[in-house]
Amino acid sequence: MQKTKNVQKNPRTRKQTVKRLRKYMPLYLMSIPGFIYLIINNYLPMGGLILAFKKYSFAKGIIDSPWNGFQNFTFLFGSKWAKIMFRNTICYNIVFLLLGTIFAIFVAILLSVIGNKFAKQTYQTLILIPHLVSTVLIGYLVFAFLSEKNGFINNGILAPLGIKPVSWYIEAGYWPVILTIVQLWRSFGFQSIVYFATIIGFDKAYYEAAVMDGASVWQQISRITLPLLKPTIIILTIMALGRMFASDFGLFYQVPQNSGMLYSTTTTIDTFVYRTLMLDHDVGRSLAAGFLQSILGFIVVMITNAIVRKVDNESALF
Amino acid sequence: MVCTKKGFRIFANVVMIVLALCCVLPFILLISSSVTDEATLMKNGYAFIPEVLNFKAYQYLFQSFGGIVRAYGMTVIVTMIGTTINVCLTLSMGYLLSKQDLPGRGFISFFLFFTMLFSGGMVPSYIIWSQYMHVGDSIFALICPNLMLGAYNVILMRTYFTTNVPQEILEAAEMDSCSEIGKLFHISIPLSKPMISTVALFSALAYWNDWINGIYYLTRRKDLYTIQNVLNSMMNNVQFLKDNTLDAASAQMMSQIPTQGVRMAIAVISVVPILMIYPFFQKAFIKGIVIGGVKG
Amino acid sequence: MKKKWIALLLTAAMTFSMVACGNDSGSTGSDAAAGSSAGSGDVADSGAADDGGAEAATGFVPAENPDDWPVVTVEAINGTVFPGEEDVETALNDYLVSINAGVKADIVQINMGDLSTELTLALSDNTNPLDIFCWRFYSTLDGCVKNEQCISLEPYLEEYADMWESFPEKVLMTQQIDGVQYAVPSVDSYGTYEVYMLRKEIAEELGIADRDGEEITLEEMTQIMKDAKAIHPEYAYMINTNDDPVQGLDSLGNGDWLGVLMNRGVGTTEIVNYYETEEFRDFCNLMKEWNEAGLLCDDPLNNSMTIEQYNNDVAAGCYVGGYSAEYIKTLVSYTHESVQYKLTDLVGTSASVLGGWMVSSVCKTPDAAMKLLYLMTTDETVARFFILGVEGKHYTVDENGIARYPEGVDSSNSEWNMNCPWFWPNQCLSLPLETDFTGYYTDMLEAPKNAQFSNAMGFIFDSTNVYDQLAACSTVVAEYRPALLYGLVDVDEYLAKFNEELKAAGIDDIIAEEQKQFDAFLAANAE
Repeated sequence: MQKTKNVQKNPRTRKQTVKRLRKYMPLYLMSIPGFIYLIINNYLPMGGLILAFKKYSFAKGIIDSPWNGFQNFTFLFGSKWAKIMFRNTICYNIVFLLLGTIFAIFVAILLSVIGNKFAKQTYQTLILIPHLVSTVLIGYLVFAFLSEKNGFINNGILAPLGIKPVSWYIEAGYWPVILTIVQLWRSFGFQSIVYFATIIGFDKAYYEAAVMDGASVWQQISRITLPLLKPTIIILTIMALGRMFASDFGLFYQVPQNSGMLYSTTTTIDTFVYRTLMLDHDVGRSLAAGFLQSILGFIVVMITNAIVRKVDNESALF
Repeated sequence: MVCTKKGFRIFANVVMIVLALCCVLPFILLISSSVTDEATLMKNGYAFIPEVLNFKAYQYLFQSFGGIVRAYGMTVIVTMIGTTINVCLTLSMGYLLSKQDLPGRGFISFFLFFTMLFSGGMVPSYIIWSQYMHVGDSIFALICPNLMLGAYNVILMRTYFTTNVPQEILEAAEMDSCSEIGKLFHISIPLSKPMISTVALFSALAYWNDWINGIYYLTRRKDLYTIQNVLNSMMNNVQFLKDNTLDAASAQMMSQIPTQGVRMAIAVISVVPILMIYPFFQKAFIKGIVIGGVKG
Repeated sequence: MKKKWIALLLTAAMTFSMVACGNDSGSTGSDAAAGSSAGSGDVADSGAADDGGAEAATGFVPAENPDDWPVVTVEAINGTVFPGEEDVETALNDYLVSINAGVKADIVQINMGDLSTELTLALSDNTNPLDIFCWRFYSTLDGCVKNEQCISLEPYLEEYADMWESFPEKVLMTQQIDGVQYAVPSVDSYGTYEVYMLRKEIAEELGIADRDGEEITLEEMTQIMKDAKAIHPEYAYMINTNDDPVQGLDSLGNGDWLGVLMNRGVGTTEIVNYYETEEFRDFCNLMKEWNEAGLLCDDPLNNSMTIEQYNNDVAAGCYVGGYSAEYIKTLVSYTHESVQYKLTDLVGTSASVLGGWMVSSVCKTPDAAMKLLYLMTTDETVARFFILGVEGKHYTVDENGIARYPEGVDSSNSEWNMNCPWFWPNQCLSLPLETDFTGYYTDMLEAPKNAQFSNAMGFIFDSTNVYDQLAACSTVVAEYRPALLYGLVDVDEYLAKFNEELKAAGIDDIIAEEQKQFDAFLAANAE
């Protein structure tokens, strides 16, 4: 595969480029609607990012609002919360990414070996349910389990065992575990679909040959399935890294019910920004926070992608 | 994946049954709370088996039947149209990017991925869509913004085309002087059915679950609300009353908010149909496997 | 290579959208400026107001043909969409034509839960603008002015003098910043007192029903709740413990109590850190006592602590505020009969004016919008269309002058939202709804005459200089205060940590800044 960089230097390859351009012209043309859509839906509004450096005036609009330098960013760093929210956001994301990927692949492999079509369909449908329930409702459901006086955990599990009831919504220490469980619970079905679709698309001949050679199940998974899944895993991971500094607002706000005593382990950048700006409607400040998250995510992705390209050019995202 | 070991199959089934139960039980909790009466719910919280059955919530929904059915209809129409467009756009872009020797491939990938990272936020998006594209207060408001094409799906599609469609078949087709578009329809699409149905499913779920477009762009046409908008507005109202410490006068507004049971009932009926539709997507999966088997 | 792409992309995107958004936002700016200066909070505004004044002196002249009249959009807030909108608009516009108002109205219903999102978007939309809105539930006067979401109403002071004069001076001041009027206050009693409300049958069992209306102390109240708990352990006796009047605060408009005046601001000008006072420590200890006695609801941090709990028989008592005993009775009469024990005096504080109506900065016809706002505040018929709907269709009037739902209709299936009269500019022009208390609104107008007022009434704190400290402190308050107010934690230890964190987050800077501005405010008003 030739790299674009060499193309411009060599007149012969330039000719080839023109040839290839002609060859792929129908495909370019076919993609034009998609490009136009991305420009309208994503690139035009991106101009609004300049508001991160302005004091947005509803009367003057985006262009005429006065500049105010980095003033919109300072509220993020003014207190002890800066450390807490960056730490929480990054740590949760790493844990979610790691456990989520492992769990999703595990489920996808299990699904792929199940022979009974009906069973397979049923499982797939049922594990998708959590994704369909909105986070507010998930918050209610979690509360049903963890409520101090009426919750299942305290009443149904701890009480019969003679253990004292736990005040879940007061003890911040439990929440990293609780939130991780909730996140895995609601996302594993959805995430495993991609891996499952990829696995069932693999050429069966590989496996048949392996079975002939007497490979064990574990060997089939580690020698065939995982290496074949590698490009997909890398791509999905790179995309997830772009959201490294963002968090699912619902998960961290609705599920712990915005309970103040849990802030030390549940505050992420998004919940802090929301709570601060709830009454201000300060467009500039909220964009500033989003811009910062994007920039940091962007840096992480560029670094990761560069490393991946060095190691394994084929798998890189761009 | 082929597996001849019976033991592993049984293990797989057991694990999947446990996981499936984990997903279903909370949902049953939701259903049971939709048939529990209000005071019990407030006093005792949720229970798997309601002490006293009370179908008031569903009765209420039945009374406002017209509104619910219309919202449902909107959801279905929007999901169908939106998903179709999304899949077409995703396929065309994903296929273009799957060509390893495509001039400008790196740039286009970056152009695409960049949209996943940066966004201009609520106000600029609103200005573009409502003041320049004029989608506000119409059904286009539910279809066009944000959901018609996503970089995530395109990249999934691209990865699938490159990893699961063997290069040899494509080269063989080229020998038979098959055009690029011909290869897409005759080779790549048939071989990629599992991922196409996955993309379709993702897109359908996104449309089905979306409520943001409704809030943003349907200011004066609330009659176009989808079922998720209806549900979400109710939830927001509850949150609103919780956040704002209201005096007794404003508490009069309480009477406009359906009870918790009704909220649960709507949540239930917003989930059930997609569970019913999902097996059809699965059919496409199965077909994909069958065709996938043919190639090998 | 890569860098070039990024630069190219960004530049392209910026240029595109600058062109796109620029055109149109530019025009808004000039529109708004033409109407009057959209105040930036500077004193320079008063200068601009003079220009506008000259224009307004001629008064608002209606166009000859009603078809040419500008249509002004008005925010309405509700919990569901009411189908009566079209009927109300038609009837209202017919009336407006009949009085040659020169302006027509278009009501935009906004779901209260989505208010924050929808209003932010509507106020940045200049092709389809929202013209008149109320800052209540959305933001604060200060917030709207800082964001330049509203215009100065100074040009209209002369033209609509009769409207402005109908408000007490102190109340008008609550809608001003640096002496510039930005909003028309919602007419209300402007002062309230708090009572402890208890279910009547329980009071009867305790033998204290005849003390209805009596004033009691917090200690007596605690005893009543404990006695009630002894005979009816199935109920809680308090819902929301977070109540400024009971604790005697004027919060200066900040619900986080970052700097308050004690004694509800009556006779004091010293801004204090309430969390450091003995009063707060005692109050927390009292709450601890209540919690241990089982008087509070279960899981108070996670359940919705509203009057809903009283209506649904979870709690049998709670705080309620109002301007008179009869008024409070009317408010809560829709579920259980109750008795009430008075806890505080009738006082108006900086938080007592609950809302103000503004003309948005995207409005293209501010003169017409102001005319409609004037009519909503002063014209009985116009006000009633908004508050009660169409007479004969949505409500009827009985011989005592009380509005009644038509046959077979109640608040759950009414076609028009009649449950929020207090949201509109002048509820006192409407009629009491479904009550026996005919003095509902007339007494409301009398109430301010008997009220004491806080020294901070009309003071609006400009938080620009201490914004970051406020953000940090608010989060600290949200972290610690609820647990203290519901008696869930050990007071001494927790309170010490709370205060330590507040200091670290900069509460002293906030209070110093507040005191500085407040002293300036007092000095300016003493003149």
